[in-house]
Amino acid sequence: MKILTTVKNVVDVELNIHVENGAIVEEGLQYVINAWDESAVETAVQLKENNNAETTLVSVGGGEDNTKMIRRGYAMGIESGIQIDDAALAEGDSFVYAKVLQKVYEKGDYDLVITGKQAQDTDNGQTGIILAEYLGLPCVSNVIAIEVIDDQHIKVSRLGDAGTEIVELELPAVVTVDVSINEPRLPQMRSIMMAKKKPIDVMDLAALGTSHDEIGGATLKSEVVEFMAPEKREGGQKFEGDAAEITAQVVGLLANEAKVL
Amino acid sequence: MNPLLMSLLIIVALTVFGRTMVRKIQLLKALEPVDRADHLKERLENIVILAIGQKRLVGRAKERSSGIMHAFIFWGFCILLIRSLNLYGEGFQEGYHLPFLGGDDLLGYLYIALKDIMEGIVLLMIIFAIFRRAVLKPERIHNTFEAYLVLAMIGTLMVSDLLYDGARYNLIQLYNNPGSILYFNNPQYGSEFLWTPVSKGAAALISGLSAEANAAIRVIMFWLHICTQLTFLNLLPLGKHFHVITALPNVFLKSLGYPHEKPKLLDLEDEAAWEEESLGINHIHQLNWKQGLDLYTCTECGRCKEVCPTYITDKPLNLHDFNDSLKLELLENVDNTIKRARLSAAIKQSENAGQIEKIKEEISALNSKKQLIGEVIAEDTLWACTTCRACEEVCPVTIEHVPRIIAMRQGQTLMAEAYPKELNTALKGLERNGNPWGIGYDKRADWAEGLDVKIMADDPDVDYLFWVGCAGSFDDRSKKVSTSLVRILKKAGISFAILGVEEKCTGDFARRAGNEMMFQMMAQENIETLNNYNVKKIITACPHCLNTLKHEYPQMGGNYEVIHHAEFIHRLVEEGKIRLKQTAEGALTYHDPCYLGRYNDIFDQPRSIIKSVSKGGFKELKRHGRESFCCGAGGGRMWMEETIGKRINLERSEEIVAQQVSSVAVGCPFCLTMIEDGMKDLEKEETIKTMDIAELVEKNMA
Repeated sequence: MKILTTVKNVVDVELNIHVENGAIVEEGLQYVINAWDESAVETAVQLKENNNAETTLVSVGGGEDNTKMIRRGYAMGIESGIQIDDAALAEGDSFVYAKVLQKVYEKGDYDLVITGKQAQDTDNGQTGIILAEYLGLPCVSNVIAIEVIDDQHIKVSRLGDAGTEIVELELPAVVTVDVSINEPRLPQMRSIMMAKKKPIDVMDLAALGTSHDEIGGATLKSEVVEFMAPEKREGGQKFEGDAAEITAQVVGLLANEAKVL
Repeated sequence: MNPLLMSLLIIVALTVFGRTMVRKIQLLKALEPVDRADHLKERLENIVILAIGQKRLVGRAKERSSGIMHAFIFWGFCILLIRSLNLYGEGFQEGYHLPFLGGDDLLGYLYIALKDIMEGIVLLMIIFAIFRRAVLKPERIHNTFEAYLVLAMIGTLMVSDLLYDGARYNLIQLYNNPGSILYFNNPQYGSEFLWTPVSKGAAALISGLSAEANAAIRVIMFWLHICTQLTFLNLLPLGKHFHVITALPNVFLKSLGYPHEKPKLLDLEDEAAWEEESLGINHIHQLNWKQGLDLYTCTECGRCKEVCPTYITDKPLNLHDFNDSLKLELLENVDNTIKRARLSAAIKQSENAGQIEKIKEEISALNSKKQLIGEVIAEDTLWACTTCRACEEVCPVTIEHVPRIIAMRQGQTLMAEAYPKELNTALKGLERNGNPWGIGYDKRADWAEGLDVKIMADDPDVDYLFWVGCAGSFDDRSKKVSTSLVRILKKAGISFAILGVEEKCTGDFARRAGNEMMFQMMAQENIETLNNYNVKKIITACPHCLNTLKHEYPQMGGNYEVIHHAEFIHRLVEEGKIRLKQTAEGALTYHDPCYLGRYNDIFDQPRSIIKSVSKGGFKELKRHGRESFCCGAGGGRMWMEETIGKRINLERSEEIVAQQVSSVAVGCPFCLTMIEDGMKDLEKEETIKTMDIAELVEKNMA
């Protein structure tokens, strides 16, 4: 079984994100692997370890952060990595990325695509599903367990509205996984050192056999118009002391200051 | 008496003993190297205080009776050794004695008196020891045949010597010395028997026997004494009583300058080390020779487990068994370990690549058949340790348990990648944001907002760096301690700054958990930052940061004077820069943090501060000072669940509650969390406040 896993580099949402003039301030930000994609990688590696799957990882985007992310995938146990690095990809949305991934899929001979169900930067949750649509493959989203039945079939559990749904799928297929599917391993020194030596297959759009126009880069279906910082919440007021006094005080404030009574 | 028989006995006994010892020493030499050849003076001092003075045996109130027992047996034994040399001489020549110990010297009389009385005391101690083992049965000791055998042999040595002297006395005094035995007789000092009351007692016991019987007893007791002693010598290396021989060298060779051997700075870039799996300890042959000597020396007295927070709370770590398992594994691999060392030396001399490959294959075939972690030592056992060092502090023969445990954890983490996965969250937090909570690094200085604290990047021209630490920066409870400390420093007019977002975890917990890679990453970045600002003096409220910055950063080129806030505040009080008021209500107590007390010898300053602010007096906890009880958070345990046995912090909190105090002071953010959580579990958080020293000072300063 050949598995393609997609990984996205996202801003570390543990950090304070500042907005100035409708744009995010880049200074001081750091980028990390999307948590859902990290789970996707772990899923792929476990399938490699337990079911002899072959694993490939793809990252769309250039730069050192993306390279580091692929190396992290290697250190976790992924066997080969593809980096799509093209200046034309600076602007894009889920449709564009899904199109690029479609091209990557078509260049290989994959049985299963595993993506994170969403990314913590935009929280769109679209790319994997659109990719399945482009490829005409069955897709199960929000997957929390995968079991291999045979070379052609897998059984997955997904978190549905009413509870856990168990779905049998014929391969090839696309699944998007939830973070609860596993606890991604933390690569240790030995794996990290070995990962440093592995080659990465870096391609631009031309090498991938496509173009800015074909992937829809020139006619984006959605665009970010402006970033706005959420309004800061004022700190609440704490009342301590005698219950009767406090009640009177609070009622007074609600009536006179908040004017809700 | 009989030069031929004496020669034969000595030759046989020493040959067998020599062979055993050569093997034991060969094994030590085959283990990893470690340098212990420095500071001779300090080492000799340790011998005098710890070994000859038996400090850790007689010095502990809790163990005083058994301590005194052991000390007298030890001292008596040492004194008797001189007498024994005389006896060996007598085997060749009647009346032989060492120089200055004869009948013409006062020293001879003094010695014979001392020896006589000590023999009596040792006999009493032996009886007490047997009574203690058989009747009192302290929980910490295992009753073994070996223990009784050795006690019986020591008893035999004493009895035989006393009866030998007793028979001699009878022959001389009652029967006119028929065999013309030589004895001390001096016009000035009198007869030697005036000086030996115990021997005279022994003589009285056999005074009813005939001259022949007394003569026979004298001869039999002589040879019994010699034979017992030579047998004893040969039995020692075979069991736990090897400590009779190894304890002195072990104390002499103990770590100096830092309470135990510092974790080795591993060269993680060394590819050969990865290939040979030589980072950390994953196999028994990877112990260093001092660790081997520790195992030889362990007397299985069980003092270590008795003070161990994990053993007390029913965790699987039992240091007595831990040592024993390692010793057995080491002894099972004697041949292979010695052979391996020879082959390794051969590789260094060989230049033939093919031959080297062949030797390498041979070497890897010599690995122990047992997995060190998993089969010899269980995983849960290895990871239970909080690295609190209580065990090392009480060990009479200065065995270092913790460095071994850390090295084994290194082996597990680095080589086998087998470590508790629950550490991953904290490690990932370290990797991404430089703190185990994983909170955005850019929020590190948020606690200081509004406090008007200088940041190094803005103004590096200050006297002190306040190293806040991750807890002080991110943990809501500990942030209050940081705030209090800032107010104190400001009040005292100290010029200081913080690193702000540039500070990262020191890597303490990562290193204790065996993750040397993460430790070195953190240390390297921190040292770069600190050296960049030319930092010289650091104040910190976290003993873990203190310990790492002070003792471990020098390994990587970071040399700073690091001061714990309790020490610093104490200094400010002494200098009159801060005035304390005795306004803290109720009685106070103090919980010694392991990394402040046992690791860094700071015991008095926090107590002095607490006493200065306490209105209701200061109460010492049952377990305090060097024998304080861990909160359960050290050694990376802060970031792991405690699922086996009773929670350590609960055990400690109950002890605090029993003291009926109104507040417990701590000097460590981990202790603060653990003790406060314990108080919450006991529903005592309202009646017994857990406070850091800094908070106590801030609230009670003029």
